[in-house]
Amino acid sequence: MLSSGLTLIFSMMGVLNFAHASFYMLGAYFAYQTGLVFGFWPALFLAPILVGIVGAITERYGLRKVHKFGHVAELLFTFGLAYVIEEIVHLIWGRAPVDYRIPESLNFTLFTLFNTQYPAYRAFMMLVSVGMLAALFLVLTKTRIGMIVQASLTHPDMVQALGHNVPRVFMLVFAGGCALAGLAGVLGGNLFITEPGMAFAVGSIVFVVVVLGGMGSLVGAFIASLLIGAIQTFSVALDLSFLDLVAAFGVNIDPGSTWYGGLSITISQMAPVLPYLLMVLMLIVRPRGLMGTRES
Amino acid sequence: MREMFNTGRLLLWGGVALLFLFLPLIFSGGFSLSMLSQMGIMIIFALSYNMLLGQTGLLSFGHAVYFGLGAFVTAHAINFVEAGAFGLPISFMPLVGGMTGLFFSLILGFVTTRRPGTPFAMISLGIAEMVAASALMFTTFFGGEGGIVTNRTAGGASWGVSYGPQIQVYFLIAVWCFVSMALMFAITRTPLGRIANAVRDNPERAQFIGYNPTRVRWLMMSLAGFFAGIAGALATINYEIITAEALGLMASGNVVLMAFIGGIGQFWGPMIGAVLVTWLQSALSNFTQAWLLYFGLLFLLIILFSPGGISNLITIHLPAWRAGVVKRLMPSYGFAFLSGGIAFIGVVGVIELLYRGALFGGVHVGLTWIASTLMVFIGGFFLRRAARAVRKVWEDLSPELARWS
Amino acid sequence: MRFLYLVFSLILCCQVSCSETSKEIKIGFVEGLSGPFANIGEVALRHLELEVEAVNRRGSLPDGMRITVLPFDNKTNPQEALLAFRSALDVGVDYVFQGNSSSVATALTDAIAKHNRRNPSHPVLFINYAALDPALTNEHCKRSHFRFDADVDMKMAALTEYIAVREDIESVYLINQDYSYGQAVAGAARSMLKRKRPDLSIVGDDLHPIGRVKDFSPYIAKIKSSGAQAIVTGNWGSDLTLLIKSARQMGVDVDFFTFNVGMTGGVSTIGEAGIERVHQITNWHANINELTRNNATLYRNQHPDVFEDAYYGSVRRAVRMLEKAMIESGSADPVSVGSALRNMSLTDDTGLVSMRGDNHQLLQPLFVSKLVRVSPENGLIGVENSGLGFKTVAEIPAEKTRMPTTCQFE
Repeated sequence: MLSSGLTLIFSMMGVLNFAHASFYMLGAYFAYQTGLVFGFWPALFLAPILVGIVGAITERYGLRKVHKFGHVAELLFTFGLAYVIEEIVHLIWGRAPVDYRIPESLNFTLFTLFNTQYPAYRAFMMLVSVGMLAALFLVLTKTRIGMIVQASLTHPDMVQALGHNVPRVFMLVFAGGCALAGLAGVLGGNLFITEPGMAFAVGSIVFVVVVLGGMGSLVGAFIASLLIGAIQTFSVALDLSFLDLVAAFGVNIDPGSTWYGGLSITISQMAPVLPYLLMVLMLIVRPRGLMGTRES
Repeated sequence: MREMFNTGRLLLWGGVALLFLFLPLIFSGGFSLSMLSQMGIMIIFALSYNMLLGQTGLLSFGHAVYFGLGAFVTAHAINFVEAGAFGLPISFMPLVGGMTGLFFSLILGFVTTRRPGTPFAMISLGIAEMVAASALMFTTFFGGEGGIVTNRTAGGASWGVSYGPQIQVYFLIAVWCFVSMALMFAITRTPLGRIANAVRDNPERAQFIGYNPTRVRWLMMSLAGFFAGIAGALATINYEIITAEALGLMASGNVVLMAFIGGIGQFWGPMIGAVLVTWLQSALSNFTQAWLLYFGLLFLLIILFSPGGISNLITIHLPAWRAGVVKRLMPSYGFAFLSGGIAFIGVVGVIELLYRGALFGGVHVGLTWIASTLMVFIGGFFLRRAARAVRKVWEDLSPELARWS
Repeated sequence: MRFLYLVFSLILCCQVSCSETSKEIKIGFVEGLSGPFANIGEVALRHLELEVEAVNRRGSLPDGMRITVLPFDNKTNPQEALLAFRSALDVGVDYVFQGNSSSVATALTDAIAKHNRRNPSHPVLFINYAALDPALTNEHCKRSHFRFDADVDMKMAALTEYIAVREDIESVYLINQDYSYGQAVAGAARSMLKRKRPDLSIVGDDLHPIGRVKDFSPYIAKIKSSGAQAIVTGNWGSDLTLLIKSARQMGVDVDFFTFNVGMTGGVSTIGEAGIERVHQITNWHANINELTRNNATLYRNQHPDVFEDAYYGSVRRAVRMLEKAMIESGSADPVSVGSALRNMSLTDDTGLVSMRGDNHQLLQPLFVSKLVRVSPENGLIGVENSGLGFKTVAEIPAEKTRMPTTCQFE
């Protein structure tokens, strides 16, 4: 969800939004706050809308101004925005994690697979994200608004000449992307801890997903997020290291030797590096990503 | 090359040298000396970054990698000197850092400079994250979470200089800073520097006149890495400790902020940025917990209203200065500063109050709240008026200024 | 509060040059007060201020001296800590308090030792109240460093004493943060368990990057498939809370042995699922005896609207021993206070504590406690308004926690 929002923004407006993960964080915090008053289910709808509004304001008063200074300025604006949003969160909710809980109605085990219980909440998350993506796809391809949005991407001047308010369309798209991020936050915030550091933690991975999937392709983003998720999970489980590989050839390395440190690194310890390695390789070899439609 | 040594420029550089020499007399406290030393290091770092961004148009989010690697290798080198493995005076250690930065930027630059613009930015981000993540894996070289500790007095004293006292370290940094500044400035005046500008502005055209943009970018990247490595080595000497954070995203983001706030359009812009940001980060955090917020807000304001940075703000006034019409700008500026100042105090008040409330539970509504919010509104209202007045003055003046710019 | 301190220190700066002859004894609290671990830093600062206030009120210091606490933010970063230390030096600080993050502590103890060597006229003592890397009182020991909390080896020795008598535990899984502290925990757990319970099998040993893992379910899945009956972890902060949350969600119903769960929000996150399951090894908790309960209640009454109401025993002990050392040596000069501190003992609310002279490590009784429901009936008090608190299941006397040391003061 996070990456689809980012891809949406990127493909529509060419803006790589560094603050995207910050909107994710805002979604979680808004959901927590509104949840205190209204409960989880209304918050599920309210919070993304609130985040979308914040996104719209940012676009209208911030991005639009910076747009005329070029892509670099836009990038840097979103970069500074990420800092500021994190600090505002500190201001309002403090630095400690807030107690945003999974609703009781979803807090049970769905089924047991290989002796591990699968929580219902995770299934719910999966359901919502797939549903959201399907809805997004349908809106973009089957509705009139979707067609205008798609047209504005490639021929903004023509669309404007035809009488549509293209800047408003852009604002809508940006707000939509942010709302998607916010929705991700609503769902993810109570599963993972809702704290000010969460944007920073998630931020880079989202970029990896977008780059891998291809800038401009929603399907690519979806596939890439599954891929990255799988890599991150399975690499933890694999306790293999180069030592084992080398040992398979009958070579045993003494713990005292200098090579031991490097070779004894297991795949699970390398897990955090793998997504970035993939991203760098992809950018060098095929900057368009797996299914992307534009390079930059 | 003739114009390189004109009197004006010599005076300017001489003045800078004198400034470096006499600053510690004014700011002599331990903390001030440390901050000055940090500023010196950051000046070199930010200037090296501007070689990439301002001069070649390469937005990199991973420049701290070269800084950090230079720092780590220097730390190990100093430790080797202490263990007696070889003798290199501490004064020349920055060269070690520089060569490391050069080495890595040659290698990494070769693969990354193929594509400019956003892919390059993303690759640099990826590499930065990769190196930062692997720093915690290769603990013998990077020292894990604790980093590598060195002793800057290693190798004993030479000519009475042991680098124990901070003032000696300051002068070491000042010398290297001056030399690096001069070298980097000289590079901007060489054909390489000029073609880098061309590649930044219009790579296709540069190609047409026979220069390979990728090659040019790669060269600039390597040189930038060299100077970043020097800065890293000086950081190791200054702090006697280097941790993996120095090559992380935060450090890279920091130098982007510095260069941008100072202004990437002028050679000396990032210097202002480095000084200002270092001050904000070190001194301001002792005054208020909201320093990071102010920092971010400052950055946003600069991008929104003056993307050329502070140096741009200064240079657009040059024609007015030359035309002698600065006095005409004064009233509206004064108005703007006054109203801006009120609004600023109000905003600071609100933020500080919120911080106290947020961290200690419960917000106390009181006189300060009312006063601060009032100031924000009043100041903001008048600021808009002032902005209009300023704009009008500039419009009125523009026909006169056209002759001088 | 910070403003006042700043103004105060500025005034002092103008009047007094760095010296120990003034009537003010300045403690520099160099700790992470911003960033991810700010809340833990704030907790410690609050306790320090409380204890110092009590000392000043008692008026027990020689020559009517008073202590002031000056906070300096080190952003939980070794480099920033050094900058903070230098600004502390500028205002004439004689004692530096720090504890969160062993990497910062290592950098600080080194820097302070270097400073003392290069500036013998302005000595500084390093009071370490929480950084537990054993190296700080072994190979990295410094004459100016004093540690007031039991280090990893000591705590693990105490914890494994308790695990050893738990016949129902036959397999253990280790999971820790991948840096000096976490690695020390894992290593100590391995060697000590092997010695005390050779029949116990360690079915897993994971090191994860500190503060970066947001989803512990892959690790929990591994733990489940290993069939471990207990998890031993030195994790702290969100690393611990997320781990336990994940375990609870995935239905892993094993005993947890931790170092830190009672601090900063851990209990509320775990909730009822942790009852009888979650254990901790600490030098203090509220329900050890009547005295500790009183102290906890006193603290809570002073700060009624603070969420993290756990009590920092080590900070209290450090201040009280400093006070005693100053009284005994009759001055506030760090060198004489340091000599008085060595081999000094004090009777505190949990019993007799004493500072070793050979490596400057405090010996104190340690307690293994588990999470239980609290109520007026059972006379126990809870934390964080959660209705849950800790109950001692094993007490390890101070002398039993003494570890061999390789420390050689230069």
